[in-house]
Amino acid sequence: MADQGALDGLDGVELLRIASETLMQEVAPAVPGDRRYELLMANNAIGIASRELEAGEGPGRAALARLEALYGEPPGDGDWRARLDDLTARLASDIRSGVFGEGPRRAEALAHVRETTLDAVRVGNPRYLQRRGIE
Amino acid sequence: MADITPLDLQDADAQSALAGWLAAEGGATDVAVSGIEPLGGGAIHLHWRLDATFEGGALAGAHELVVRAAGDATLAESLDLVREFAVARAAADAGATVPEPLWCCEDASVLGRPFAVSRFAPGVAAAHLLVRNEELGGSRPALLAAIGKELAQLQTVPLDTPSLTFLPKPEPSPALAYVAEFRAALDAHPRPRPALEWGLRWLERNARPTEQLVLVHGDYRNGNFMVDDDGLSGVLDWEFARWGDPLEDVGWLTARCWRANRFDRPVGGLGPREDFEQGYREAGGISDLGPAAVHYWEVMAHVRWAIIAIHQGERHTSGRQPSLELALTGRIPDEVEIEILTMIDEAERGEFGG
Repeated sequence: MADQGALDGLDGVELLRIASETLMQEVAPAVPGDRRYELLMANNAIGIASRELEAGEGPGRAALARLEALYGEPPGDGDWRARLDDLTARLASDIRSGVFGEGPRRAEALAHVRETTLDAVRVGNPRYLQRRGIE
Repeated sequence: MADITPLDLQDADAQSALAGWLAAEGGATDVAVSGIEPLGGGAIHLHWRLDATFEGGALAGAHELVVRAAGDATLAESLDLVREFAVARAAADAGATVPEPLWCCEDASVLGRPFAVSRFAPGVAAAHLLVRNEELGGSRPALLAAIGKELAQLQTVPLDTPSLTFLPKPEPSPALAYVAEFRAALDAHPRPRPALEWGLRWLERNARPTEQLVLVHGDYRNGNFMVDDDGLSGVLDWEFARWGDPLEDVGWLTARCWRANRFDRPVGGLGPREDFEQGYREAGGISDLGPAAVHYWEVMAHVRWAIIAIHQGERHTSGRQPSLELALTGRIPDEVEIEILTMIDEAERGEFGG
């Protein structure tokens, strides 16, 4: 995240917030009904981008820590995203071949998969989790 | 199909070619065509409604028809127009409510591309309207029963139907064929998806045997049910048909991902399972609709939808078809994955029918 002070409170999240407000309150009344769906989609995209920006590196770094614990790997240095990608690919392959079919690591792997997926939906469509009573 | 010539049925030459072809197919001495207007709907093919008056022949008189012509793009996984016509024809012959498929033309010299002609069936097919407006489609319990009856009828199409020999028979079983197909799709996608792998592993380990292959519509859900004031007027879009398990279409119909946020109405956001099941049973449906088996096929439906949504997102990211709608669809698999994990948990606790 950028330094708030340096940006006078005008960081990306704030810009997307006011962009969304302008679209939905000022532009929307002038948009004909048959183009309203596109306006709503654009606003939805802004919302996703904003939540993604707000979440920052947190969900990815937490996922990496869970995967390192699952595989008994020491915390690595260097490019953490590349390491997350590698361990996620390893997990996907291990799930397919049945490595986590039984035993205590099954619950740990499943908990990781579920938490990672929840983090993605919290960014992509948090209302879905509310509607379904998941959160 | 980049070499296809543009088609405009408002064009006089195209209308004249169509009229001549209709006359030959209908055994008429002449056909007058008028009132041509494009119809919306259908992401792949082009549709027009028209009035055709036949002089003599089997269809002597005036008819409202629909011309469906091959679009400029095709989906690799879907049937082409000619094969889709054969499936719809077979379904109609088995008693399913389908806008009556009349003739199909593979000869590109008539309109520059293959096309099919069916009778026009009145009504609307729009998932969100049907879910939101309970008046639409007549009595809701009757509509749900009709959706069940249609499925039972469709499943009576004989496996040895000569016109359907092109439809593949899944090996070693419909369930395991899907698992293999979806794993291959994930392998072709750059981003690993552990939650989908979890679902596929579960679907593999708990695969349901299929006692009898039946014709599967392949997209049997609210958006493909055309309704008018009297109820169901037609089941549309047969391009994803295949031979498969009797519960494939049931699981797709009742999956949570097609309920338009009406999670309290399991059948496509339209109503309870009981009305649908009663219609299916009364029409002699082949499956006993066991809750655990239906649940299994609902999990399969979610994995299938996630894979389709990933493909749609890739159509945007690859640059082939830049589209906000496709891009947003590419973000949907995350919430579908949550349902997959939830449903596996439910299955392990013996909770079905939610």
